[in-house]
Amino acid sequence: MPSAQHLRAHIEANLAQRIPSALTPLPRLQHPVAPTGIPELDALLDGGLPVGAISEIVGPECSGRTSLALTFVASMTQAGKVCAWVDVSDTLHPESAAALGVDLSRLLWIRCGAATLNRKSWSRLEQGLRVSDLLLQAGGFSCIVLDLGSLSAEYALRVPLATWFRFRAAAERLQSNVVLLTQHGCSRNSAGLVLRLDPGSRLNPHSTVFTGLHHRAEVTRQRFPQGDILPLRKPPQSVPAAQWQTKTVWAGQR
Amino acid sequence: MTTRYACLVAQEFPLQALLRFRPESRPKPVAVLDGEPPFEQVCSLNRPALTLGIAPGMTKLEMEMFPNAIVLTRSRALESAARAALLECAGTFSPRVEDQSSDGYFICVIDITGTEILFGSPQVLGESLLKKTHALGIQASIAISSNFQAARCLARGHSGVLFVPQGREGAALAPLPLTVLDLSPEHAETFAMWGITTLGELACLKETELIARLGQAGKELRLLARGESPHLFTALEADFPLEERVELDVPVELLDSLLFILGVMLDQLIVRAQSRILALASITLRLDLQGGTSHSRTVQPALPNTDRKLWLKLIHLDLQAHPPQAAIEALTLSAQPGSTSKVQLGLFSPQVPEPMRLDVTLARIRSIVGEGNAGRAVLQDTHHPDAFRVEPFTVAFSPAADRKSGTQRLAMRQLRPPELVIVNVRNLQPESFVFREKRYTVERAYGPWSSAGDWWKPTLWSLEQWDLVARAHDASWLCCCMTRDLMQERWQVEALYD
Repeated sequence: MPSAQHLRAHIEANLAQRIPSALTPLPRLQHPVAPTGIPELDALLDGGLPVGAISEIVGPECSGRTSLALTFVASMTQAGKVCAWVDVSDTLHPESAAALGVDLSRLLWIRCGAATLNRKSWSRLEQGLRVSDLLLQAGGFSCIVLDLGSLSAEYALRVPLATWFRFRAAAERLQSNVVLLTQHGCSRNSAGLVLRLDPGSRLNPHSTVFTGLHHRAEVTRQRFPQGDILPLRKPPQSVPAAQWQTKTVWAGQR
Repeated sequence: MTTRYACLVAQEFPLQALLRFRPESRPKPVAVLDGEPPFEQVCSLNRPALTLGIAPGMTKLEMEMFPNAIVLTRSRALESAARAALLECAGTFSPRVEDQSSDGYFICVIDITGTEILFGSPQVLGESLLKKTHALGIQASIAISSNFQAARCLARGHSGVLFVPQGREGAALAPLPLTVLDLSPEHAETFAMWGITTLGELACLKETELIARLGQAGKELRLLARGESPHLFTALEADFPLEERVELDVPVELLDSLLFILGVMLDQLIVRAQSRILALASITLRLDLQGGTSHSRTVQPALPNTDRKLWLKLIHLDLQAHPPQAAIEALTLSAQPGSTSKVQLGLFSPQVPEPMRLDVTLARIRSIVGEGNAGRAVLQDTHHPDAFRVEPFTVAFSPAADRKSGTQRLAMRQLRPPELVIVNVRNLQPESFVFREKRYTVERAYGPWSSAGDWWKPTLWSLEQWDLVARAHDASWLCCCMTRDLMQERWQVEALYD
């Protein structure tokens, strides 16, 4: 009696003209990733944020979105790459960025609506989207952060889906990381990864100074799961979440 | 290869520069006066004037005794024009020319090493050079030697063309008078007392004896007299003005129409720069407007380049952002040349924006967000809040600094301008506040820390800073840095910890 392996090879040989490798699972295309600089999150994301895709970091104010994005930008600039920060609300704190290890000479900072008297959200959002378009056309930026973190859902959700689709296509073509900071998920199907950050809790409640925060992130969408082989059966599911903590600059190393 | 220098000397240069355009006056006695009226003196004169009895240093009053003599006033502009013409003529024989002119003399030394194949023997070259200077209206003498200083002295002491082979400089210099050395009055007096009148007599003196009496200057003069003095050749680098000007028949108001003219002018500038293997580093555009005013803009990309489309786009974007206030009557385009730099990237270096394309992108972004709002942040060494400045962004090709640390840090989101909040205070501590139309109850307040004080006034601290952790009724969370202005009694949220 022929073994199962022998039988499979026999069937595949007969069907080779019509269906190549009929019974062999297809090898999955490995999507490159860029480490975020946070080991707990890298372990959750199987290496980091997907390269050539939109990664959306969703969460309310004070949930750690800016710290996460700046840590990622720091790891990119330390690798000699050039990044851009499209600051729709003009809230980037350069001293914080430098404290997180960002090489400010490799970070192009665009402050939308900073000089004009027109500081309305619509105007700033429009400026941010136009600037992001130009940066994606120019190419060469390894990471473009579009910071909509201070905009409410009323504005962010009204951005046409075609815009996010265009950004996704450009990011894929240029192999750039487009990181989106929002309060509510808005890029929908165009996002390669959606990370939802929950409100954290403070570190060391008995200290006399504010020392930092606990953060928790959950993966709500991952378009490019890692792994060599596409499994025939659905693997056992686990809660895709990670926890880490960030400390203030004055809190010291311990 | 034997080094050879050709020295071109034009004596009585102030006079020769004036007579270039008056050939009919050359046979007549002519003297040139220089100095502030009424103390003008004769600084230069020709041989007929010398024969007439005119001497250098005579005053204008004394010159009135010679009614037949032509008296001219010295013109520095004509001298510099004649000097430029002579240097250009010398530059046709070699690119290495050193200008050694002094007051009253034009002296330039040309490095003609290795030019035999092009121009023939040194004697032929000298005669050819002399012919060209005669064509310019200048009478000159030329000496060719393997020693720089020897050629210079020989040219001043002889007329016509003189070629001295290597090793015979001393013999050729020997009969020349000491005046060709430009001696100081003290040295001239000393040598006159010693009875030394020629370079040959000076060269025969013992070096140690000369140094004992005149110091190191004596040694230098002896080397000059022997034709052995060393010299470091400093080649003259001529100015390279890159400027084009167009005056319009009809005043132009539309920028698009102007771009057609700018394109043609840019072509000319680029061709001229490329002919010297140079690129354009920056361009200054000056527009003469109706009403007599002018409008100037300077465009400077990250790297010097000769890309016409890029320059045109950058100028267009700059003029769109800063348009002229009236119709344009004339435009002047002046450029600074720069080296055509190339950046060699490594095979494994990360991708970076292309500098030329980035310039256009940044110009477009600046037109959207405003000047000074796109660039790189540079922190300043001060304790003031928001202590940074935004500088123009350029791609850094230097290796990145490795600043990895094990601890994850918390970032802040600075609110610009700070947002006013209504705060309820209990026991000198904030208890609850309303921020963005939502009421938060303070869970933990850290502070206060006094700030905005002056070190010379220890009692005046006008700001209190608090770090607040607060929660709203809908379980939303806020962690912020709040300040209390004690002078105006108001609370503001300065930043959010995120």
